[in-house]
Amino acid sequence: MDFDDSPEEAAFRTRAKLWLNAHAESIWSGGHGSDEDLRLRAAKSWQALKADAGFAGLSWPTEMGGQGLPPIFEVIWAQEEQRFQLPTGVFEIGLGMCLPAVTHYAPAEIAAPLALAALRGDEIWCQLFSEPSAGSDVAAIRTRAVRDGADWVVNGQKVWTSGAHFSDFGLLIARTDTSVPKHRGMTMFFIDMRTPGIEVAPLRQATDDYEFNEVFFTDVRVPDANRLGRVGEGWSAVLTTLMFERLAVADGYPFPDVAEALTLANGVDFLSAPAITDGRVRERIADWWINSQGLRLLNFRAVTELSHGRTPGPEFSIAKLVAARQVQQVASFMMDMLGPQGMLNTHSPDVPNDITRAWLWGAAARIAGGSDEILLNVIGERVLGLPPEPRVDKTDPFDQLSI
Amino acid sequence: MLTDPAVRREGRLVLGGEREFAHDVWRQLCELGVAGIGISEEDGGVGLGILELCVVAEELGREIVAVPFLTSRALAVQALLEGGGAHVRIWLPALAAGTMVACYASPRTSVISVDLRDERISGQVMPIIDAGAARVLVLAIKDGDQDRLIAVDLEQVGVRRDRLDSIDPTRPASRIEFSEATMVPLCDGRAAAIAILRAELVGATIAAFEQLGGADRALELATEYALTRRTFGRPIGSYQAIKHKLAQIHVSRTLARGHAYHAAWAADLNGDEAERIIAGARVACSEAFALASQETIHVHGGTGFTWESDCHLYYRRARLLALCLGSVHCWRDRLVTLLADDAGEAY
Repeated sequence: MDFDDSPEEAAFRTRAKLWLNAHAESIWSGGHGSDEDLRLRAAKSWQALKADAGFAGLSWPTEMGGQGLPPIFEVIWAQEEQRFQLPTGVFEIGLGMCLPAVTHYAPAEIAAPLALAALRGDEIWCQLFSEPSAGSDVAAIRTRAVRDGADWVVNGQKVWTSGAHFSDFGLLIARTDTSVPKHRGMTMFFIDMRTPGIEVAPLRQATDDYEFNEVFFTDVRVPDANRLGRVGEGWSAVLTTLMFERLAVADGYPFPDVAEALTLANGVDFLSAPAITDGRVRERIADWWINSQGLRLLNFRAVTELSHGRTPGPEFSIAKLVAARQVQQVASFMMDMLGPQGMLNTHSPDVPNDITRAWLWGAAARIAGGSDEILLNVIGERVLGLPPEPRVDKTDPFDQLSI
Repeated sequence: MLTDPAVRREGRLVLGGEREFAHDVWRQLCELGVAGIGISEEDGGVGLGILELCVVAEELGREIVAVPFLTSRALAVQALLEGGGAHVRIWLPALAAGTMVACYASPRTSVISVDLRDERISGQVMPIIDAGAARVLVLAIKDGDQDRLIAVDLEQVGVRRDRLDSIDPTRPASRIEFSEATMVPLCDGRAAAIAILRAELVGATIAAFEQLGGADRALELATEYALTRRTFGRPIGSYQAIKHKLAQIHVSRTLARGHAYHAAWAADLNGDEAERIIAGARVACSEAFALASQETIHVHGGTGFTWESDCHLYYRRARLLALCLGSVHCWRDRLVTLLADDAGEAY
């Protein structure tokens, strides 16, 4: 395992730092929870500034507007950019997943303009995979696409679609054949979100925010030119897309962790004594530090693999599992440390991140992007080689499944 | 070499109390130079350093080998190298060759009640792992608020050793009673404090690698069993109740591995951060081995609870290693003290 950058990596890191120090503050100082339009405008200006300076699409091929660098440079950039809490989240799905899939499957004359517009932040993408009956079991989707001349006609419903309400394009997986087993009857498309028949209905989350949506399709016409991959091979396109999912390079989630817990423990009493002197508080802080430090070290190993040109394997899916659980645990215990004040939403200037927001988001973090149980299955089956549960849904035709 | 069934057979002899440690395996290891790692060639060692000690420790941990590597090479010899001065160099060639074994005790490893007067020691120290096999005890004590590091030749009149009943008989423990025994003062005060800290941080790092090897092997045993054992018509590893349990062990041992590597790096550099980094590894690796060994018995069911099964050997070793340098609670507390100090400086 390498704990240091190579000379080229170090030089790039220095260049990134200097540029970020010079430009980041001018774009954004709002943190979380600010007005969405404001954040969106700031995000787009930031992305354009980055693209002009050559810091967008670092590992993308140059013909797609990228810089053609090895993936390790994306990691270094992300580590440095992350320190500024910039509103880059709106582009993650598009740049991390959708556009790599589009450029992989679509001809260059179609893919290149889309890639350029997305890289500059002019166009935002969403991912139309999950449905009411297809969450962890993505291949259970029911949204239909039926061929009609040069078009496909889409009917159905997607859900948990982050950013659909401000997205320009979406990456859609739909069922094109119900007479074959479920993994063989799907096809992938990209879709203009302004096409008639698409209705986006924001969902009010448990946090009282509106970040994801239901998306309804009623006789939506999609040209066959928007198809990605062959008809019926959508599942392999889904798997390819998920492989493009940006490596979990960040040091966990942007929520309170060890530093914030230590600050709070130094400032409040817990059961009539300074919290920092209490054994229960100390044991927890130690364990959180050990988890977070363990993830940073795991990340070093992933980065070392990348730096040597290898792709980290499924063993690294443990990062999300551990980090998401910890968000919930840290926030919940910080509320205990606050005592009766823990019953109130916190907006304390002493605590850099909002505790109750983290406590709520912790519940979502353990579901989104692979639930705890799915991740444990991935580790058990793909890392340890344990057999899958017996299942009937892989062989029976989709229209004969009792789902 | 360590996967040879003879290693396990000799380990069973130690388990049954028929040997103090696995002499045959130890001799073979020492022929490879294992006891001389980190000791200079002029003192009879083979050179190399902490990283090589860690590599050996992981393999010993995997096969729960019954040899005095952690006690003699990692703790006692490290303390002698750090604080022993010139007059202990006569012991080093035999220790490096493995023909002599040393043991180590400090307030972190043992209950110490001794009286030092005029280079004579009286009182008792217990428990001390591998004291039965050792020629020399390296002893760290608090004399008032002064740290002292001394050595005692255990083969002299005035030293009595009694075997105690260890939870892991492959790592036997003894009580030593001294009555006016001759001791060799090594160093005092700040020099002693530094030597003791260094020896125990190196010891904790070596223990972490033994724990890591043990956790990996225990998980392998459980996984192999879960693939072959069938209940209700299918392998038990296909049930999520078992699969998720094993996946959780994988998570724990993977995080522990990162900590252990970092600890090896930090112990080698011996910088200011070493104590914090090694404390993290000590806790992470203790917990990983504890989880792996206890759940391995569970996955094996009744079979795992038999004397013939190796499961209890991992279970016993995991507990012993987790206690032998202070429990995880001590190290968590130490870690938070260091984190709070750092945070205090930062704010």
